Amino acid sequence: MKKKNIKAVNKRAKILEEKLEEKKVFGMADGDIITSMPIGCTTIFDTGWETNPRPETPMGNCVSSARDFTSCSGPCWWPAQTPDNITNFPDFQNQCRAIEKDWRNLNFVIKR
Amino acid sequence: MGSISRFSLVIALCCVFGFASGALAGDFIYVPVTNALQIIDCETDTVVDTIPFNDYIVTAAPSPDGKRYYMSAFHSVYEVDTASRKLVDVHRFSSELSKTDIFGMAPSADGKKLYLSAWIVKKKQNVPRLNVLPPHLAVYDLEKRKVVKSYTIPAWASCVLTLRNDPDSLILLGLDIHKLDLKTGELEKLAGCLNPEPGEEQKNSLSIWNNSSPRDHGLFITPYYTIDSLGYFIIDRNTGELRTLKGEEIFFEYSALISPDKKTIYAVMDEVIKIDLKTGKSLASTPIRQGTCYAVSITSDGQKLYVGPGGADMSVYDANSLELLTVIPLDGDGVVAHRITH
Repeated sequence: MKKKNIKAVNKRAKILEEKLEEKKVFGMADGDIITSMPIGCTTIFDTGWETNPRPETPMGNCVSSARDFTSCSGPCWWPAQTPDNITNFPDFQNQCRAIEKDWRNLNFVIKR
Repeated sequence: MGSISRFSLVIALCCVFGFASGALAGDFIYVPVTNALQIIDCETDTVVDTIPFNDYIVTAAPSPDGKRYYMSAFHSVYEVDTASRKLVDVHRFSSELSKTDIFGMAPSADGKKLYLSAWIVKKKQNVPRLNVLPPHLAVYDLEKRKVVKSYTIPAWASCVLTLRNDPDSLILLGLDIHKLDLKTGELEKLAGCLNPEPGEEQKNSLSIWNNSSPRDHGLFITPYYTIDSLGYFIIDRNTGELRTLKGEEIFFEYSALISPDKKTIYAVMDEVIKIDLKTGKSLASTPIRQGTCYAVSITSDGQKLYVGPGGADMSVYDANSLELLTVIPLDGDGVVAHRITH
């Protein structure tokens, strides 16, 4: 839904606003929508909570040095940060069994 | 037989049976990690067994008698016999044309079935169109190795609970909390999280972890958040009663459990937190030195807490003082852990 006090300032935001007007873009929780995506932090968990402001690094979860990176790869579906281990990279955990120690081995974007 | 011979026989039998029972007696923490299940002996706080496989486990549940440990890797459920500590079966639910993701999982009271909260996407060969089925609660017969019944359920039921007093009903936790009648398929809304009743606040709950142990007090607990407070859903699996408790302070918590004496809540995320179950008052908290953790287990005498995994370790705390006793290294990252007592 369109927020009253938020104004689109760039091209992408303007397009999004137009789509919102046409009701082509909507929140997953708006209405009875079923997707193929399982549950996860981004669907039933407040994503603001997930930023988890610690006093020291790592400052947020789901980053490659954070202890919850691996579990965020499937159900949470953080596509920018983590490999999609449900469909495209089902065995990515073989590259890296303990993320804090082995994260330099991660190579899920380019299959070798 | 002379008295010395009888005495020798008694000693020999004590040695044999004492050793045999001692080999598996006591509390053990079952921790699925990347590509393995590791078992920690709570007596020595060491990993005493590692069962290898090639998968990442996202949820797990012991059978009510503790004889089996089921681990879901979304597409398959791995079955471990806890007496022999062997992987005895792999139940596969996904195929190229029918992709199934399993999240919530609970073994039935008789241990013969698994209740699975499943999302199924079907596709046809060479047809670029996906058919997304409504979310299902599947009843899987472990002996027949097939789904014998299924029910359409609300989306994102991330946790499934059985009730000890009512084997014909399940509690489903997700966007809201429902009771499912297995005889009729009817759903009864017990509490609204995303869809609260008029006048109630929306609640935000990541109900994934069931840190309960077989034959425990039967009290399930999961944290929830409103816009300005922390609370807990507490479900008595002996009666089906659901109640809420408001916490005195706001902590970040992934999961929680209730102590064996039913007096204390222990919760974890970046800290271990001790809360009075009666009042919601915070009793103590301490940052987890190793970092973020998902699960917490407690010994059957209520004396030691096992905090983890998350990363590849399990931190052991004194449950009374929250003093860190030791850190047990694991082979990989994980999400869940359960105490099973033999």
